Amino acid sequence: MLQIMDLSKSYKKTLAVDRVSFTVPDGQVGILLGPNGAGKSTIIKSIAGLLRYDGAIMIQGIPSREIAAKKIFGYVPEIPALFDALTVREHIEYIRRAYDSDITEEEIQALFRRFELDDKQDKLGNELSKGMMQKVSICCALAVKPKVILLDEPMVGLDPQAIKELKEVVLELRNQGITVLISTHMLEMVKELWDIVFIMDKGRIRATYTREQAGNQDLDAIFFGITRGNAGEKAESGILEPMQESTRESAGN
Amino acid sequence: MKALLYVSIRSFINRMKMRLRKPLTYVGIVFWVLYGLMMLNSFDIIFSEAGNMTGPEGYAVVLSFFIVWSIPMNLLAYARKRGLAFKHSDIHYVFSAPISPKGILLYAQSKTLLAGFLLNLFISIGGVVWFHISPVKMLLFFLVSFVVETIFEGCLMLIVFGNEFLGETGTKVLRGFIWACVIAMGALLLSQMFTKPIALSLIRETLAHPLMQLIPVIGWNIAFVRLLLIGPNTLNLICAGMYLISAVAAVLVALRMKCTGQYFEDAMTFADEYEEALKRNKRGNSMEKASKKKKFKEAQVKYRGTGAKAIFYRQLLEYKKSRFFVLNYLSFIMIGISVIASIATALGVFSFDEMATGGAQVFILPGISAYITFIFSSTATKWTKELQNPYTFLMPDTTLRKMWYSTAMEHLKAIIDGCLLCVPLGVLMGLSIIQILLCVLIYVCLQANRLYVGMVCDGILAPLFGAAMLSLTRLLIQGFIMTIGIIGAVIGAVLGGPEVGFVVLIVIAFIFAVGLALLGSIMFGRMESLENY
Repeated sequence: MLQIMDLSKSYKKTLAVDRVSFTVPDGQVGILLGPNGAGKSTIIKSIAGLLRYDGAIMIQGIPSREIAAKKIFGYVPEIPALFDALTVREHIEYIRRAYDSDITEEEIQALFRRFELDDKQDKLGNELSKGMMQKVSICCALAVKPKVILLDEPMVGLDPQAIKELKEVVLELRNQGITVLISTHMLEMVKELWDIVFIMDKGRIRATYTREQAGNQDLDAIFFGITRGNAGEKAESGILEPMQESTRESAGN
Repeated sequence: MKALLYVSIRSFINRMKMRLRKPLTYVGIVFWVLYGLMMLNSFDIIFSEAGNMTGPEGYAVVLSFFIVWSIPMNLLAYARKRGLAFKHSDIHYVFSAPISPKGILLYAQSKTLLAGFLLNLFISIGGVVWFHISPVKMLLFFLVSFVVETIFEGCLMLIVFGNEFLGETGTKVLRGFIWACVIAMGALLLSQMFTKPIALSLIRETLAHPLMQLIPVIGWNIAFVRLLLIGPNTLNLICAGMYLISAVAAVLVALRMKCTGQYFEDAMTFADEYEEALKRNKRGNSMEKASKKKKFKEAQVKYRGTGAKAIFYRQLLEYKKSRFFVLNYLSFIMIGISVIASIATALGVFSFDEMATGGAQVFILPGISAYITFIFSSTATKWTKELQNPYTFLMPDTTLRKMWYSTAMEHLKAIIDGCLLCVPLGVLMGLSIIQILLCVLIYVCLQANRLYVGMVCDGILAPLFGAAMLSLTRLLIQGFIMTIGIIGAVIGAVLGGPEVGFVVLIVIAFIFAVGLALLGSIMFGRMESLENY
């Protein structure tokens, strides 16, 4: 379970995230949506422990900055950056050691086959294309065997086969009870994956929906209804009202 | 930490393998060995003759210089959450990993450990070779000083960079304290300047001054070095004791202090700058500054013409929006030289007649132009930005025109800078209008050479060479052209007077510039050039 509680973050005088709270329960896929500048990246970086912030972030009930929380947390950043002088295989070996992961050789090879990296294992980080780097980044996050995984625009740069595999991987993770949070603009790509969606705008969560609440509504209809329209327009278009603060908090419980 | 050790070792091995596969590595090794041998020889002269620094006393002064130079600089960088080489890969794979934030800081510092070890080794061998200190003493010194200093500096880095108990105000106080130490050292040097004649020995005497050893950390380190090399006296025993006590205290504080990784945010910002600097260094533009968000004025420009001409007018618009139009730091150096020379001449402190006699005065300006061109040969110019823009390649025009309109503004800038340098100084020297004009043209041609040598090096040679070799090659080509030009100018001057010599120099520099420009224009025709920028 991933819990964000009263998260606020300012860059000098600019308030990027304003008292944001949400929860993604175990075995659910959460989607973080929002227009450019909404504050998604700030939330993602805060969860990954890269920023200073006010509030609290818990991974399986453990404060996210603690080593125990980091051990069960996988992260795929928007722009992958590999170690220049490490091979693809050595990246996984680093992850295995850093996270004390019990991933087996067979599992590593299966991951490589799945993302078509089996013939690239000896390539150095600086010899790979952006798409390949993204695949390595995803494999590394999976090699952690995380309980919570955070994917920031994971489909960008991937070929159709890799996108298909990634979607399957996300569903498999969900079935294994792992918490997944995806931040993306590619609504079409996540329409069959999501369980709970958080729509952000101007540093705040404007609405939270579960799949049951959305019913037959498309993600893009929900998204544009919240970010473009006002309450009256939403009612006319038949868009559901977002969850209230109290129900938002309890969504994960 | 074992994971970070794995990354460091594997990266080192893989890099070595990559380098040893390139034949140019071996050429580089031979060059640096020869250069090192040459330097070894010249150090002997510098230390014994110029500085009068011999024996353990002289050696202690040299080491003190390193201490004074490096410790405040490093500590100030750490206090600003800089100075540690984090890369984007570290942010991605290390910051989010279950590794102690203190361990991550030590990992970042360890990247310079090998260089520090080699430098210490070199310095220790130097102690035996140049200062004739016994090898046993130097070995003991190396072991003790390297171990103690590395641990102490590592702990200071942890405390200054990673602390979460000082807060913003505390960090400011710490920075103030380091500056106070630097100011104290400066004040000591100044006080020496007032009491003793100004010479190189002044620095030596300041560094060896008893008061210097009283300055916290920096001075105590000097006392520790003096104790090991020269032997005990009351002052260095007390100060070296303070050094060891503060080292132990630093270890204890570093071990106990809380560090949860609050510094990650600052390190991320610095990583962006560091990666940018690495890119610039790779293409040999180490002097180019990091691109910060600049403020621009309102301006307009009327585009006259189509195709590649648009590049020229766009650059003109950018310059019009800039604070100082086409003037940059080089222009201000020119203005500075002119102003200082004018004031000095007016006050009678300096005279061009003393600088050169027998009609040689007329060659001073071309000499200054050549010197400026040579020392600023690595400075980036605005045209390189054009190669970062895909539209430069997509534009429907010839490569030659694209190259010309991308660089035309640089020539205009060179004319302005040349005038700023040559007109005031030429008038002061009493040169004729023709001579001044020729001097301006020489400056413009030499700058054109610099520009096109850079273009050829960046575009054609950069993929083959490392940064150091690229800078060296640039200097060598530039030096070669200047040598040919100077030989031609001397012959011309002997046969037909200085004006003829100037014209010969201009013609030679112009021919080289055109040839290099034609060669460099290839870059504007292939999109691969984008990858180098």
